[in-house]
Amino acid sequence: MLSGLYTSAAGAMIQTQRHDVISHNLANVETSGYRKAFTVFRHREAEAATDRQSQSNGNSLLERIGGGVFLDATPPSVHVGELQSTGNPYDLALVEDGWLTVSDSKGNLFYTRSGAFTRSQAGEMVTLNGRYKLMNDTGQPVTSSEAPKIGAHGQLDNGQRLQIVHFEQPDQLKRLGDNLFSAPPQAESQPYSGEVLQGVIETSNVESVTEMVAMIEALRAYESNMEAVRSQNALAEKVVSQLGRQPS
Amino acid sequence: MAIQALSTAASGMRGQQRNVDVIANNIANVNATGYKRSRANFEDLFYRQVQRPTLTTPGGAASTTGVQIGLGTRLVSVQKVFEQGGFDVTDNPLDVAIEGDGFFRLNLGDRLGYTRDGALQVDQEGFVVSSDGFRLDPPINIPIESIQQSIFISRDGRVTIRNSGQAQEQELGEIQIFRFVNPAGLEAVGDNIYTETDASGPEIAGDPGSDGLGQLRHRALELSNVDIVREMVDLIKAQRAYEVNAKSIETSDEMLQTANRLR
Repeated sequence: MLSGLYTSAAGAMIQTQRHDVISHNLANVETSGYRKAFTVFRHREAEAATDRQSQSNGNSLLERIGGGVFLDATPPSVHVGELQSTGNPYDLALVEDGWLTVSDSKGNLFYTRSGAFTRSQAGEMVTLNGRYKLMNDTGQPVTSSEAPKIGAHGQLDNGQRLQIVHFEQPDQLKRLGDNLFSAPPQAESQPYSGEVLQGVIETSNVESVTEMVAMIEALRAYESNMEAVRSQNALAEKVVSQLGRQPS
Repeated sequence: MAIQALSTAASGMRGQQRNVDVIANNIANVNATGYKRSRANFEDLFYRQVQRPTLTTPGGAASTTGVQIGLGTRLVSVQKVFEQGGFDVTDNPLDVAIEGDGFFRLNLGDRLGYTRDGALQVDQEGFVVSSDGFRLDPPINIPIESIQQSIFISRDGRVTIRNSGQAQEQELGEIQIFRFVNPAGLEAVGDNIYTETDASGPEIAGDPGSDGLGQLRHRALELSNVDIVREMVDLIKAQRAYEVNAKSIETSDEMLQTANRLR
């Protein structure tokens, strides 16, 4: 009964979730190396389609109605953001799709596109919050007694080389905040083959125009669904108040 | 829910407000000798994992990490950008600019400070001081009776004086300068003065022109490295970013209103 009411409500709800994601993108429009989140929707199967009873009865109308929609995933965009020159040797940028590897104090590995680093007391390159160390390809923190000199392929002048990976399926990466991502153990990766720039930083890859358009779209889709809720309500009201009434 | 977007956008507005503060400070210091511009760095806040209605896809196991809804942004640090500023040639015999890496070291009384502001003066006792009156360290003393016009500071930091009527130059001392592995890690304490931190690394001393240190330029000052055009562009960007976040709040508000009007 009135299943359309729930379908419309689901339609409105995912638009609010979509708006949450867009708001987060817009809040990070100046966050270096931030990856814009997409929203992927999927239609929900109608209950009737999974119900053997109705299948055998051949209730084909319900099967076609479907069960509404849900937000399925929020994968990151791998589009490279604008590059800005800073002149600071502790700033790094990757020209193509790849990830710098950093590690916490327990040795867990994380991945980041934000190339703004600073120096620890021990001469390691660490993230600006000081909690994660940039790793080289031998699995040790990158160290440099002087300001690091990093070549186009990620090699330092002291023989170390940055650990930079390229993930085949970036939608498997999980966002952790602090500009970090984590990868599941089964994630397929290969060494990054693109260029590394020093003294350059990648800005956020969020384009505010695109996000604003998406925000308007989300708002209007939300309102349309709410309008559908309202008209179904009006219809139900008519049914309750007028149907079956004796003509006077 | 729409409520999440409200606080997410608020964090974005807060961040941009700080960004404008940093840019405004840069613009205010466009004429401050030896000033280095600051840069605000942001990071994303943590994420809320949303349980999906179905955990498996028709193909089997879940293929992606699913839905993660972020909670906004925060300012993680404000860093100095040590790009070389331009030079201004002056006639003041105690103006010195550093061309390249390095800082003058000042004795702040309880600790040491570092500056690139080379508008030096002489205090009552004849010691060379910064424009805020802190003595250079190691100190250099210029006899007060000496004629200021005859002071000469060489590229490698030797301060010499020639008194009128004498052919012989008299050496008064040497200006030492200091550099850091990561100057962006220094802490700015105001008055164009920085102090050492773990991130900057320890000071590396030397004579100007040696060991990666810059040379001194006598009768010149280093200008602020603030590029007003760049700051204005950044200011416009920050303002627009502030506005889109405000729009995001407006949109959430409209959604809530629509929900309230349902009945």
